[in-house]
Amino acid sequence: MRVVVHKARCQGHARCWARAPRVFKLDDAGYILPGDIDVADGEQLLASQGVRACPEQALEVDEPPANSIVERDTRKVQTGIEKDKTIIQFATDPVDHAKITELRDREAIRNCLYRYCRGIDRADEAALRSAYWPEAYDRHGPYCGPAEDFIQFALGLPGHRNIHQITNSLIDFISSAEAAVESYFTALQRGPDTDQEIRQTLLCGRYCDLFQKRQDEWRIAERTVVYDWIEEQIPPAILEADRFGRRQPIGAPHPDDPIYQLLKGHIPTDQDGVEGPQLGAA
Amino acid sequence: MVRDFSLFTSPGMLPTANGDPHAAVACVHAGPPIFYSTSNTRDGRGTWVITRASDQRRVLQDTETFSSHRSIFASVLGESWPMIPLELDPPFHGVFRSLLNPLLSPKRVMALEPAVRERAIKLIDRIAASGTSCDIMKDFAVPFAVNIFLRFIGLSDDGLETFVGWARDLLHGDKEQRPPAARAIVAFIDELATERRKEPVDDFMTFIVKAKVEGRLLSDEEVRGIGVLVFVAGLDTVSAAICFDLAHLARNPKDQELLRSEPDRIAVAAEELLRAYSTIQMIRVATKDVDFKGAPIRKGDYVSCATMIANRDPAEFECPNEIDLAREDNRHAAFGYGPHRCLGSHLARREIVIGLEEWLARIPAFRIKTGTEPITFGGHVFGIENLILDWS
Repeated sequence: MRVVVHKARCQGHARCWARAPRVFKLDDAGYILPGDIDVADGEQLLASQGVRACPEQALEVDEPPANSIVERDTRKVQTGIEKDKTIIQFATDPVDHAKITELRDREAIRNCLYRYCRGIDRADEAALRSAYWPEAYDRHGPYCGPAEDFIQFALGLPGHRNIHQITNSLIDFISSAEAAVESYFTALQRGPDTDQEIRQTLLCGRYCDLFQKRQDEWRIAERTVVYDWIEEQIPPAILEADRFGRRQPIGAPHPDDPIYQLLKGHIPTDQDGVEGPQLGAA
Repeated sequence: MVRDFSLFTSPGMLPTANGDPHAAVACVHAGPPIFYSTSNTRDGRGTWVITRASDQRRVLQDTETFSSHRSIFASVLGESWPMIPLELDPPFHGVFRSLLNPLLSPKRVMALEPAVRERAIKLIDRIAASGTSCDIMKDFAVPFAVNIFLRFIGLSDDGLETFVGWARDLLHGDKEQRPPAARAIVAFIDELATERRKEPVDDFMTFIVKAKVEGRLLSDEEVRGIGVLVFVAGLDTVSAAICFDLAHLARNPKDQELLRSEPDRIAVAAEELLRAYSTIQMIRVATKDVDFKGAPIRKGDYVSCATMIANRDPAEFECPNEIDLAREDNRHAAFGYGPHRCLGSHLARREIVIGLEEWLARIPAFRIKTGTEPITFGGHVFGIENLILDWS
């Protein structure tokens, strides 16, 4: 994190220094020293509070990382003087607080990736839709265009058996509300081709996603699927039910899959699917 | 564009028992960001009134368009010399400001802290020993803040009553009271400067008479301009702030108990109290015709930036009329914006914090004495008097 110092605007209120004396250094007259400030890890929350304390708006955070942004609901706890003391002490610890925010962001992004997998594998429209922002864009192999069209395309493939697994995810925060996320996937796909022949494919690659946070929620704004491995397999001739034998139940599309029994009562009736999938994957 | 509003005569601005002048002025936020008040100075002049904090910041930062040279003190005497550095505009302002800044810098104020605390403890112990009630302004706030200030400029307590009387007449008096008070202050400062030139000691006035700007000693008028400003600024405001703060705590026992049981919160709470009960109206003079959000400000017009109005701006502060002693991101305007930011702000802050710390540590749960009513008033400098606290 970097703080831009507009030295000419400083009028010596010294509120930044009062908040974070190790970050903001003053001259003998009490005005900020010239030059932008590289803020050390662990000082970021205090530094951004110092920035916001400046009555002259002489300080600016250059690209605040996600973990320095204090979320509204958490901040209420911090300022709620009537609240339980233990919570207040916990929440005012700057290190813990920044970490908690970052962890929440990371977990929300992972959750969204998993929702996508459920959406695709279970043909669960709500889950799939909840992974993308409405105007999101998807470069998805043969398909390239609005994510909305991809959703329609993916849901219109009856008789498919898919298993999408997300493995390594690297989450790089671009700002407090944007992240570049690279997620390895392994996809086993079996279903009728355009010529009605059953094909089975092992695909590996990476989802390269631009994630955006809007009103406390993370979703995909842009997706590019990069392919690293493809293996055409020989689909088994026998029916699934026979092959699995006593291993029951077998996975099924929404809403017949057993997971939806488990989630019953937690699945939203609206089409957003915002809450249900989040709960489901938690 | 013209509204019936005045910091001097609107409802709640005249001396009012149990008044809340800050809440009274907050009503302007229901209206436009700028309007004209036909009578908004002590001598009944009209001013434009800037209500939004962001616009006040813009006005006070733009010294080219909005000058602070208006000889507010000297005009009482029919003269026109500036109080320095307040009534100088950049770049000359910066010359004097740089001279004075180190004297009241955050670091310097830290060095003054033990003396400030000692004074507070001495006064409060005396109050606690002599009974279970007191007049806050008379018994604590004035003898505390004014003593610190007099010590800073190098004067003894002997003249305290006289000095406070002059300041009160000058800042809150009528047409008859103000000129003699102004004359007395000028004569006193001139005489002090003469003495220190003859016999230098280690104090503020000696520093001023020996100081050089641009390679020369200060002129008599410059010494006077600085002396008068520091004298006037130091006598009234901190004690008023302490009184407003203790009145708030007397009326809000939960807040009082919170700060007493967790004194670490006092520094942050003092900022919120500064925001909620700020006392100063600043006035600038337009140096040219300028259109300000549709208002045709003309060269020579007065433009009012009242801190108590900016500090109740809902666009700047969430729920501005709620007093939240743990408020965050509290970049309030109590000490002004721009190059004329209150030179004594760091000392004032420490005095307020230390005063509250020692008061809460030494005086048990207090309230406003039954049968008494604090009197509040508006004006250029808001104030509260007759605050009688009781802890029997």
